[in-house]
Amino acid sequence: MSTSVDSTESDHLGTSGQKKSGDKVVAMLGNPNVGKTSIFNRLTNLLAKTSNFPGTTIDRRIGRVELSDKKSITLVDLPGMYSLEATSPEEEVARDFVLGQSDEAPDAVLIVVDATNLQRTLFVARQALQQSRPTVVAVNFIEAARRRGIEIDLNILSRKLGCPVVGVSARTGEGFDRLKSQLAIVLAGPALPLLIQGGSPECPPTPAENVLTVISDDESCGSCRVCPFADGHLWAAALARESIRDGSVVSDETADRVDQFLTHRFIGPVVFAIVMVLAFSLVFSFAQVPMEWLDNGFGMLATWVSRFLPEGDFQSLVVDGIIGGVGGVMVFLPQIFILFFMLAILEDSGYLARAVVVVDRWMRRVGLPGQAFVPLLAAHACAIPAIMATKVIENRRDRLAAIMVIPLMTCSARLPVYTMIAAMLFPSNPMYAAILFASAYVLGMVAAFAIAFLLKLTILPGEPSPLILDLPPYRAPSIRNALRYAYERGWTFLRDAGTVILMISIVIWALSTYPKLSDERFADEMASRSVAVEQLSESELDGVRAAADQEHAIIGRLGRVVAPVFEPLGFDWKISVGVMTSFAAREVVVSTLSILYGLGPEPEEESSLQNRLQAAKYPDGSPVFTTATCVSLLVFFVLAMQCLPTQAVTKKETGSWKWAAFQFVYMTMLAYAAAFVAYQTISLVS
Amino acid sequence: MFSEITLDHFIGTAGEIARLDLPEACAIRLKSLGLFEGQYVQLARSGNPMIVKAAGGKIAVAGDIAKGIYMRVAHS
Repeated sequence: MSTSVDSTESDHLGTSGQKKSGDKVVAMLGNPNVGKTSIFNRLTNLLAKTSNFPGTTIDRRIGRVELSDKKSITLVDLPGMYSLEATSPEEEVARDFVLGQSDEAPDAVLIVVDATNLQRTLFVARQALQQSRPTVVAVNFIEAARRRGIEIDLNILSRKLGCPVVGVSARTGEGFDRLKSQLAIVLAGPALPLLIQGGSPECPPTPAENVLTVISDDESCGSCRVCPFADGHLWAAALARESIRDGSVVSDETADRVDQFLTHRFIGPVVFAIVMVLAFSLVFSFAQVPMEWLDNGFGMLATWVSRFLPEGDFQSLVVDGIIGGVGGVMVFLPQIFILFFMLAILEDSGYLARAVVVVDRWMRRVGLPGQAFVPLLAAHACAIPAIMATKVIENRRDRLAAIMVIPLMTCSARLPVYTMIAAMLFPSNPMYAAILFASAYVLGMVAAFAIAFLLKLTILPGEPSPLILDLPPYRAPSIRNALRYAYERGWTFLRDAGTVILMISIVIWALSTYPKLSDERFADEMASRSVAVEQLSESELDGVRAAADQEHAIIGRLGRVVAPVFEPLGFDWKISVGVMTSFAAREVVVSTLSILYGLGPEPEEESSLQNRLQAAKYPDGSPVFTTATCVSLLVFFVLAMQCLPTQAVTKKETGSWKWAAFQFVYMTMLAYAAAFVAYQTISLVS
Repeated sequence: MFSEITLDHFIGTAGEIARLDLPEACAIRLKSLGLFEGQYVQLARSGNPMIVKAAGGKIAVAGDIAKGIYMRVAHS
């Protein structure tokens, strides 16, 4: 999938480490939440690409920056880190890059620190400075600091750090011209004198060697003298104090009060529930209209293309296979975009970290770390970006547990199935339909937590690694960054899922098209079923023909073979075919059923499909879609692993097909068992 | 005279970390965030997870972590 570096990026910074001639590479480094990404976006004018570090699945953003002297550089935005002593794979890759331990090494480093919290953000800056690469330090949020009465003496900071220091504001653009010119100067000039020496924990700098050690006697703490962490933090604290002109400590009482409220034992969960319900209702209500547009757009495109292509297999491949298949996935893009926009806003504001504090205790009980909550939330749009987002979880056991249960969450692709079943069960009762929807969501969540708990007791033993989480300051979120983030996530989804879906669509199309049913054979079959072909209208005939073709094709034959397996769930052979065709992408079941039960190749409206399904009868005249069958079908689709792109991502992120296979097997068994219980129970009761 | 008590049993609003008794990866993470031996921390939220303030930041730590953070307490 996306492990390879984009070919356009390979020109700048490829796996071989070759750079575009003349373009020097600058790595951006800093704590999380110092506004690194905002600076990156502004410097690159939002023209960045996201790819992986070679040989890993860890994202890096790369962009070109035109410097003031008409030269350009390649800027690499590294994952945020608190220390070069990496404790997660993400930090390891970033550290190796900064230290030049990977195939490629940056020509210079741009360190970003936070003007409103210099002390906290200078620690990793010091470690990076000890690498003696040409360096520029950008002090972000300089304008916000000024508003809060913090005046930073950039000259002192620059003198002490031994490198150029520029105050910037990513929000207003202040200081960016100077930042660019300073980057040009350090890249062109000779190596800077090294002011901060040493650095590795094995060889900590002694105070005498370290020109920048500014610890006064009263701050020294005996044993900590040799501890590089203590040394670094005390240095950062002292330097921050020295370079803040009025020396005033900004009161954060308000933030403390908000924290107490948001992480309160009782109020915290209530706020959390309200925020989540609000976020989801916004996602679904805002996404509805663009999703309809996309759906109609693909419909129009299909009609338009059919007009230009001669009728036949090629037209069918393009219209039914490619446009139908890829379009079916593209319609979920608005939901994914809006969900990630909301997540970015919540994260930027500082709330998401507090939400982790609230949910951590409960999640831990079932064997999931608090950090898994954001991926689980994202899984409600699509499991693919959610599984990718588990990178924030450091411990492999915890990460595996999260990846294994993520696909149980109701993703957007399940919604067409839920809609279809809700419309069949409660055609004129929107209230009950809504309850059915909510129950399906709850079933997915409960199943996810139950399975996580079972995994903890069985193949993934042990407790999730305990929470250690830096709580970022509260800030007004940046709409611009959130839009950018949502766009990138959406694009990654399209690129990764879209390419796989395209292949699957073609395969499914081929399986449901070949071998072809000859006209004579069709006439014989119709005669054997006593269908009066001559009495059907043209469109009805098309539909009957489509269904007969499908029955005759490999997919139909498979369906008949597997039908006995699904009989105890109340599925007839057509639903069984639907289950088979949706093996690769669950939403396909709607179009499969609409074709198999249909009189027309595609339903004009949802209601027509609903009517056709309701009217479907077994040869003995009993209805196919009883309440028991509908509920069984719903339960099956809530729990089954029917998404090949997700499987591919699971393989990629866990590094083995073993976990993808396990995920498929356990979810299918769970879905089968639960649907069986649902069908048999409801059949008995009614 | 000083003795030690783990952070989860610590009573008070502020104190000094005496030592960390945790797996290396956890200890490194805590130290990177500014929770090291000799550091002065303030308690912002008790319970599980707890929130402590140190080195200009706020850090949430689970109860299991708090059990491995020993605080210095003065004997009266």
